[in-house]
Amino acid sequence: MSRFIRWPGLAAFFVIVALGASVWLLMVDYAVRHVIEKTGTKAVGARVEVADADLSLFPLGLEITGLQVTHPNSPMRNAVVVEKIRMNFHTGEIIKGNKVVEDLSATGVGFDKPRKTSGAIAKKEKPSGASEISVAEKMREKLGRLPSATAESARQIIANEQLETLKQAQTLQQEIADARDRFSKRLENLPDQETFAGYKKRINDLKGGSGESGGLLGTLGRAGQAGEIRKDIQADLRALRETRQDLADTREKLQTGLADLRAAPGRDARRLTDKYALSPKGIGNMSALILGPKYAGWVENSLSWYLRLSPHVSAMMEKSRETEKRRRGEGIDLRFASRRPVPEYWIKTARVSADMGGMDVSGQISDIASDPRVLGRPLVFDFAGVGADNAGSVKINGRLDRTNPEHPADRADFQIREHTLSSLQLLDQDSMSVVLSKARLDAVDGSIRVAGAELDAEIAADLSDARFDVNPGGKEHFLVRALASALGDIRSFDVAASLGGTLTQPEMSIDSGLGDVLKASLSRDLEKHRAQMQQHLKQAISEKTGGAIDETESGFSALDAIEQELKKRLNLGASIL
Amino acid sequence: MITLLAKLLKVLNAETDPGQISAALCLAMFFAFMPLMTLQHLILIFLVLVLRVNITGFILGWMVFSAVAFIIDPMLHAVGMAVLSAGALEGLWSTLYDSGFWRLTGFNNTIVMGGFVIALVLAVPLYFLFNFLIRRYRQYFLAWIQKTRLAQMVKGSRIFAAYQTVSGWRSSV
Repeated sequence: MSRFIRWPGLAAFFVIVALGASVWLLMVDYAVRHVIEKTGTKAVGARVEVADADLSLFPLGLEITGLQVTHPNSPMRNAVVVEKIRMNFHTGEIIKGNKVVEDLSATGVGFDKPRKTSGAIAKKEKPSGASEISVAEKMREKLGRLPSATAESARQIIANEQLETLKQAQTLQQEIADARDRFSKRLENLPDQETFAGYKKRINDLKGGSGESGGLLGTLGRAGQAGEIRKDIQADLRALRETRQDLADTREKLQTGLADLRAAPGRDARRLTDKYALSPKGIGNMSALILGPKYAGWVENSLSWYLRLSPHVSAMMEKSRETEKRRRGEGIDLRFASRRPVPEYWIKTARVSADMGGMDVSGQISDIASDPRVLGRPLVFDFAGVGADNAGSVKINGRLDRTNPEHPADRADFQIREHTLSSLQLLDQDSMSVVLSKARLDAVDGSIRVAGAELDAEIAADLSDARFDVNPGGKEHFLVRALASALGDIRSFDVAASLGGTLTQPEMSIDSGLGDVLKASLSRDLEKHRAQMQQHLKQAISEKTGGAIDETESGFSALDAIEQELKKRLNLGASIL
Repeated sequence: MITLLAKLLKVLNAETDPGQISAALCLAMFFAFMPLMTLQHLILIFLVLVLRVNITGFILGWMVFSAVAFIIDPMLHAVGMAVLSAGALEGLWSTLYDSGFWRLTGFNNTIVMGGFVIALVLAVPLYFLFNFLIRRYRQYFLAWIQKTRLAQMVKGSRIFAAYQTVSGWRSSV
């Protein structure tokens, strides 16, 4: 036996195994912590930190304390903090390579907490074509913006605008000049003083020649010539009358143009008032303007987390391992049909207790799995919570159903009752900010459905005991005063918000009784401001265009001169007849 | 310190029979051809330590065969894929796949399976080939090597003297 067996080697083997196990036990907690931080940071896109991780072997489990997940868009805030996570693994499945957690409990969960240090990581370059504008920004653009409360002066406005009055004056001046040239040319070809003097001479000659040829024939001949002269004079007078009539028609048309030109500054003033001044119609949906930015922010935040996390918690379908890019020396783990198939990652039950806006919320999530097809069951969550001293309640439940990858269907429903809100920034623009300093959420009912990439959400809320703070951004403006005054009177209002479109291009609409009250209240102030602005604009436009209008009007004097000349020639012709 | 080092060298260079060195080299081939840490690596370490095989031979063999494994990696993968994809064996693999013990062996990994199959096929022929080569080496090359300047330097060192003292070794490798 000893010919083949090296007995000291047996002891050496156990020493080596014991040493290896000791090193593993010493290093495993650090390694687990490192893996959680590295994987989490990669998934979230911001620093994920763990204070401590403790792996226990009997029973096989893991305890994580002090988990901090940085908000990707706000590196000085944690999106989520968890005091303690305890999970117990299914040993048999762990040996098989499946990370199956029998039960998980997360306590001390909090959201949106400040950080001591920045949790930003070096950002990777955005893929080409990636939009620089956030979803929320696009939605806000669609909802509209409060116009700048910095009133521009009338002169500033018309300095930057093309005035229709000036264009019209130029056109009319050109038309008058054309008419003047046209009629001047016609006048040159019409019978003038010289022509009528010629007629006079012919008539005098006719009268003077009465003694030369006497008799009846002579008399008849002179009568025939006189008739011809009369016809010629009448033809010339007709031409002059026609020209005079044409001139009168043209002048009338041009006079109408001039009258229209005189009204043009008013039209310009109205157009620019519509463009620059505030009006109940112009500022659109007031409730969307006031409540929209906050709602858009919530929607964007929720959607970004949904898109970020849903692949990790419920839809991480197993890629075909055969098609994975294989690294040298690693090979590929093939999967075979199992009599008892389980997903590679599966948390059977996760119990979570969290602080959400001053409410203690607790509940559980079932079946968080990497491949729900294998499991045949959707991820289901159900949470309920109450506020301090039983003031207010919240219920959230729903499911992420990816059991059929062709038709993923997720839904969530929530109810909030009797919850107090405080210091909610609704609007934050350069011109003004609006803060809901306090309010009572009497009832909020919401439902969200995601089918594939299609979004469908409806939220209805009733608020009472509301107090608003309106602050001017820079220089105080009448709108800030008007809004402050209007919002100061509002104590209760309702909100109805909906969401459609797709996950990457959501379409949101928001409606509220707040909008109607604000519109009614602001109407008077806005109309007054509008009238003032229109008056100022009209004055400024008149100053700027007065010269052009006067110059246009002076163009008529040339036409008047032609008219006088025609009249004079007609009188001359008529006097001969 | 030198004595301790010499004792370690003695342990490493025990079992110098050609068969013991060849067996160590074959075990090293198994160890190196399955690059992932699996249950069989533990078994192989156990065998190397408990069976009277040459440990230095195992360590050197592991280094050489690791390099070979890296070079023939695509072939290991292809063989493993072919074996694991064989329709006739599907039932067997499914049964093993449901067993925690067999999953510890990493049998479903293409490199592990490929490396194991190739090492299994080569083990017996290589054992006899290594035996033949070691004998030829000792017969023809060792005397010449011992005459080289490097060998003379090594033999003149204090470590070599201490090594001879602790092992009573006077002959060749």
